[in-house]
Amino acid sequence: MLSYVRRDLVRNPRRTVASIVGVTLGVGLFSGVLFFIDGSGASMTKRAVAPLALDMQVVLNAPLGGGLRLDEQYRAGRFVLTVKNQGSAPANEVVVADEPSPPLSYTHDSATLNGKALPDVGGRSPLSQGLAGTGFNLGTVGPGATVTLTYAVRTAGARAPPQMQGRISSRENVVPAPANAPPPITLPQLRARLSSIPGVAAVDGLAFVDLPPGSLRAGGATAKDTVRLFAFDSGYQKHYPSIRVVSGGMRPGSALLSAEAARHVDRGAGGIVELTIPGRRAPLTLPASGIADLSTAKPLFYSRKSNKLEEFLYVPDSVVVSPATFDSIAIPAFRAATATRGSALKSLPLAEADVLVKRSGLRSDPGTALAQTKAVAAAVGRSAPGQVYLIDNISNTLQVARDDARIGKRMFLFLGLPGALLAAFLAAYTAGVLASTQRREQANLRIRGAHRSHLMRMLAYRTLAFAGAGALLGTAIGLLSVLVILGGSTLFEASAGSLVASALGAIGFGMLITAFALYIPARRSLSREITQERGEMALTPEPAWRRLRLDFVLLAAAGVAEVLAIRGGAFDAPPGSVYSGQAVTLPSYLLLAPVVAWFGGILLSVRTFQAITSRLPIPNPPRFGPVVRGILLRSLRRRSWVPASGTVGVGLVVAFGAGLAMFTSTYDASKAGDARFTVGSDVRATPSVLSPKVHPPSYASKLRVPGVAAVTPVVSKLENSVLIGPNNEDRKNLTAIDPAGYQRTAGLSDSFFVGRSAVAAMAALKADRQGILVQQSSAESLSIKAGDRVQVLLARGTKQQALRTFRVVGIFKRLPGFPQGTDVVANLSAYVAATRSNQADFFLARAIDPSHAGLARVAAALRAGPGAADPLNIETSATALNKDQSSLTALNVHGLLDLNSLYTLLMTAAAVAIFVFGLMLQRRREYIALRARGLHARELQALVLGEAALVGLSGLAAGLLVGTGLAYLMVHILRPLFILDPSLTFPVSEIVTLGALALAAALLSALAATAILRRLSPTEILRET
Amino acid sequence: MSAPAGISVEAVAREYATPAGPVRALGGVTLGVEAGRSLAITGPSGCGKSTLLAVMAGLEPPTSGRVRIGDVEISRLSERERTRMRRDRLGLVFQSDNLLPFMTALENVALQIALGGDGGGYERCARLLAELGLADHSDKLPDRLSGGERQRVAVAAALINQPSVILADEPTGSLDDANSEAVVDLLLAAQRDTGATLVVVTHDPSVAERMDDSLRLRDGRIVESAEPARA
Repeated sequence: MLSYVRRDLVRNPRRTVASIVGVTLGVGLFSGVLFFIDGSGASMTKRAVAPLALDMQVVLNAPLGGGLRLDEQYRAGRFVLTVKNQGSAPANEVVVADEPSPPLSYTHDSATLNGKALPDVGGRSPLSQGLAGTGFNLGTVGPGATVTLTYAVRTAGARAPPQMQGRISSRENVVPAPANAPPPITLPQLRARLSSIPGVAAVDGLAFVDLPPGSLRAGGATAKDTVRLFAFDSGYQKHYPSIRVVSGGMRPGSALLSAEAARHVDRGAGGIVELTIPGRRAPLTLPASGIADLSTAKPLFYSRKSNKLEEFLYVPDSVVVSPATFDSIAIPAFRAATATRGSALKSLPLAEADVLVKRSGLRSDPGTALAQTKAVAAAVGRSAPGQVYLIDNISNTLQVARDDARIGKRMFLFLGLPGALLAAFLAAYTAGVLASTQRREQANLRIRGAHRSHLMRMLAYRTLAFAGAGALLGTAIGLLSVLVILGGSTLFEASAGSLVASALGAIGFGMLITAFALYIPARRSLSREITQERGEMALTPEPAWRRLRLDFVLLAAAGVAEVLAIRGGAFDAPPGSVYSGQAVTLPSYLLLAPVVAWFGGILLSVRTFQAITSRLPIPNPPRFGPVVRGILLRSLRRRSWVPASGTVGVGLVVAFGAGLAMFTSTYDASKAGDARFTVGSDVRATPSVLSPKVHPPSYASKLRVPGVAAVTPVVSKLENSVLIGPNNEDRKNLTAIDPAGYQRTAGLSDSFFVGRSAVAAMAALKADRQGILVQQSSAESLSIKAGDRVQVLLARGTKQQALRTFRVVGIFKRLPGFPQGTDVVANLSAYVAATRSNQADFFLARAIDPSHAGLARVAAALRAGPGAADPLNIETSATALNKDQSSLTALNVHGLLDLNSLYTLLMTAAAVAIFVFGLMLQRRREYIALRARGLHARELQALVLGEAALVGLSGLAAGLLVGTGLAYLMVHILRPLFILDPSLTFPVSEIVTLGALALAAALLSALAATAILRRLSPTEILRET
Repeated sequence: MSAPAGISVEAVAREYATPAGPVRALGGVTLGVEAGRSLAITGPSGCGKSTLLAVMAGLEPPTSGRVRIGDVEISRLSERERTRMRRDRLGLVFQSDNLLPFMTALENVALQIALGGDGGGYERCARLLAELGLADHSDKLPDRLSGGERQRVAVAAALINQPSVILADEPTGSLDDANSEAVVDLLLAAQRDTGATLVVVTHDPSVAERMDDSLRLRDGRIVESAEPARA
């Protein structure tokens, strides 16, 4: 039996190849996608952590140190809590909290303070008052003083070792410290402990505190704004190169000034500056050792507030001193300041150890890397329990990357799933085409005594051989194609285990699905009686899917999934955040919906196609009509399901290819659109902090270098204004623009505004100089409506601060150019008049050629032109695109497209070829009979070509139609990934290539088929019964 | 109607290339059929009967030798000319009806006229079908006809252009006796009425007996040539 099947496969090479080619290509695509996921996912760790400013921040709970300590003991039914101030300064507002843990409970009126009874509060222990369990406020505990608190407990059940749960806090150290805690750890001690943790590359100390405006002086000059005092050493600067020393350097006992601070006090390296520090009587005098550009130093200025970790809160006037200076002067001064009754410090020092994780040791898979960083974080947590808290940025980022990788894998898998389905379809289609030729052989075998079980076994062997060989070959081709697209270095970054798993998965799934597709119809055919078979061989056998109305069922299922998703808000998922460890969410059923709609859409298209062809007009007697047209029309009309079946194959492949091309094109356009939205236009030029010059709005004219179409100045800072509503007021980010210039330069969409168009909003702002636009949520929170008059404090906290009344001329949702958001937009001329400020914060430029090359040319021209004499920081939408932080939007979709395009083209050609050669097998006798009766070879060629072209064209039309719908669904699903709503983009060249290939494949297959016809022996074929 | 034409076959050989080497189907056959006469070619299976008929019909070129239909040496014609020859002057009937399954009986016959460049001729086809007893079946597709009816439609298609030569390869091979006789009657009647030359390849001695002449092939060669004994 086996040898019969082997001979059958070897001696019918054309049939064998036809059966395997579809399986091979389909499994090739599916396995290629799996390998592609492995290769792409492997680089996600590197990609995810690359833009991270700080890996881990270990923050001291008590940066001021101090000697406040709580000891707790349990003696014969009483807890004894001893508060000691071992420091040199008083501890204020000392609060002690304690509550016995079950089964122990507090004995009422048993508390004592220094031996005297301490009354209960509200019937509860004075150390655990109210529902919140508030502690007892001891007031001030002087240096060297000791306070003793006791309370009795009783037990309600089995005895257990008593837990010491007391906690102590003070105005100086607001984070409650546990009882019996070790002595407060210092930053150097913490660094030493953390350095020994495996997986840690470096630990650097950083301390800072904000000093009140006017704290920095030199001679007669004073920095008017808040001054941030940093303490770090040269090692820190080396590990975080965004701290750029532009002159001089860092020296112990000296101060490194930010460029702005140096300018404001008119001192450079070698000058002397004075710092006024709260709690210190005399100013601290330090020599300036250098100047630094800190304007991009994210490790220094990223917010330390848990809800604002992504905010870059830049303080221009900054001074860096050595850790020794900070510890010996600033810390004692603040300790003294906090000890002073009635002092209200706005800022307290913060001290942290910034941990750099050994990134080279992280595994390429983000999930495994996350486990590694979590292990480091756990060790960090154990290093000083209760004395530090950890901000684990790298784990949060990797958690997002891991979740993104999972979503990406799912997304890619669903994009690859059609490959497997196409393999199954092509396998089933080929099996159907070959069934008629095999029917005769099977009949012969039966006549010669073969049982049905023999035929079943042969079918099983044959199926196994086709599916096995196709799956193996397909997997090899899939690996090879990904190797070509991604390159060996990227692909083999994935672990061998995951590659082997992908290969086995592809082989297994491919074999299963194609074997199923090959075996089931053939087995069904074998099980039927000959009479049933003959019935099915009618001219227009109706496919089962049409009888079952599978097309309508599938489309309805996809529609229901979409409606449910819309109702459930699945498309309105909040944007992800790498800092809060929140990934984008994409439900699986949403990914499945396009696949279902794809199949259903094509079947519906084919139903329509069949309905049209079955109504084709044919010449009525007494006319036969022109011979080729006459034959073709009659054949199409009366055998409409034959080309319809071919159309299913071509349509599925083209829809998949076209849908994917449109999806990728839209994905790219959306990414570019988001990048442009973030930048504000094509180019953003920000005067460097190193520039001593003033950059008035009129400076825009100097930026009109070749390649720039329009430039506009923008004033915008975080929390630079106060918006005063009828009932409330709030700090807001205010932006001042030239409405006409901004409209010309930034890409404004009507969707950015509420109730009016972009043009109308800008015109209103231009027409009314005292008009402002207010961001929607800000307007809602302050109960402001369009048309209201509101007061706005402009240039908040600066010497130009001014309170003015404005009229709200419009409400907007978002505007391009402000990644951290803007709340109020004012007319620049009104802003300048009110504040007398003549400094633009940045300039937006629109390029004539927005391509990457065009933007690079503009950036180069700006650097070489105005930027040569006056340093400019230039950002383009192209560079913003490259800095994309989301690992999901940074997925290599292009590589996937290359992979899919290759297989789409091959499968389109294969589908058309299988159809044409299927026609050949089924109709060769018909064609030979026509030749015998006098049909010329060219007429026969035209006949075959006509049918193949019709299948190609109708498949193309159905594919494009359904592909557009498929792309729309896929794009819709990915909406949460983007800032702006993506709109479908139609990549003309890719689609034309696909269409041309489908038609070329039809033409070539038809020509090849007719060439083969010539080689057949008419004598033999015409004698077949 | 084309003028009656005789057939002349001179030293025709036909070889097929196979993986095992060339196989000779005909080994220098020479025969002649006078215009208006009928010839039966008999012989065991695989002796080259159908190949000889295919060579006469211009479906396959001879490896060597010459075939003339009337004054035209068909073996020297191009494929296109041979096709035109079949279309205009030959009528071919095979054991299998070889009707186009998506055309009605009438259309299958009319196709033969259309192949000659005439898009009409339905009345003539309908008349012929009626003469063959198929008047009620002319609008039926082949799968709705019996085997004998289908073969009669095939004969009608072969005869509709009133060919000068009718070549039939086992025309009764898959028919019962009654239908066989009816089909042979049809062919002979057509030969008689139009003066066409008729060559029939057959296994059936009763069919061969009804022809004017007969010859027997074995291993691609004529082993016997005679006027058959009439029953």
